[in-house]
Amino acid sequence: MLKTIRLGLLAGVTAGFLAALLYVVDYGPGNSLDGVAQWFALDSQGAGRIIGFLLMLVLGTVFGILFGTVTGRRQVTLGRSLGVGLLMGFIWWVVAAFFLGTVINHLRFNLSFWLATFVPLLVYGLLLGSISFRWRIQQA
Amino acid sequence: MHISSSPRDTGTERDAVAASTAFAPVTLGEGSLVVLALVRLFAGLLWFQQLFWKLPPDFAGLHRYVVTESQYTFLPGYAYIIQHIFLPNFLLLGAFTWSAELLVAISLLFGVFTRFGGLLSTLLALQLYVGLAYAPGEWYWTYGMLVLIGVVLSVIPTGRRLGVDQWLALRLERAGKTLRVARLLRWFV
Repeated sequence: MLKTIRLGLLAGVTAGFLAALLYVVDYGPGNSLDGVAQWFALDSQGAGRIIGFLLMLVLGTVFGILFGTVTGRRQVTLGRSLGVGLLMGFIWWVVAAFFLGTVINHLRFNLSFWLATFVPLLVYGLLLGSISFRWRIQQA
Repeated sequence: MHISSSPRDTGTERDAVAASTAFAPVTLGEGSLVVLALVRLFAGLLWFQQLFWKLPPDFAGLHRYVVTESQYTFLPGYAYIIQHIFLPNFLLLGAFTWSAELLVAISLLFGVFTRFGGLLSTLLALQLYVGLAYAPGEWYWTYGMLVLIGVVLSVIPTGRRLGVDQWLALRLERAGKTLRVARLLRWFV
């Protein structure tokens, strides 16, 4: 169990890093990372991007651990791993972007906001499930 | 054991071995496949980001590019089509363009039916090349490279790593034994 949680943690931080890179490549670079910091009302002109990047890594790790805990006990298949990974990305979006961002911190919810937050976090989930499954197969 | 009777025979045999080696199927290593998957991911991001400056319901950002295409396309007759069919039905064109680009972005970001996404992105990029490559302020290779990226993604199954295609491929392989649709869809993963 501890082994799968550790694997989930490593897969989570890797997927979080890759998802953060999706927010780095823009006209800024990294203007979109300020948006990540906004979900938690931690945005600022100077440090917003760095805070956003760190949040992606930290939350990526947290959801990786959660993923490891959920998938730890049972025999995992590729479909289940991808499915649970996508679910983690969805939960991240509901909790951080939707609830904290729009409900608590009053960010404007529109098509642009939904696309810019929902899709990259689902990609995170897919990467998490895919990387984690690969590493579990290699270790078995 | 094979014994050749003349030096000429040995030469022919060597040529045959060399030819079979040169045309043997190339198997990519795991590292190369993951790198290609990351390329696919960022190509998907490229298309994804272009959705934001031409959002529905009015697709406003797209309009000036369509007008530019009508002025600088190098394809004879295309300007007429843009002016008399596309521009009068701009909302329909916008909806089609935006949906097609969204489909490409989803396909490449999630690695789902990736080769279809690559093919569609090639067609969209070709249209941009034909319309915008020689417009003032544009570098013709911008759209040329976009076409080439699409071509690469439509011939290499990059969704088999870090993508949904790795899951789909197995299922379509099994279903392909009995279903013709699955055999067709198998080409796109």
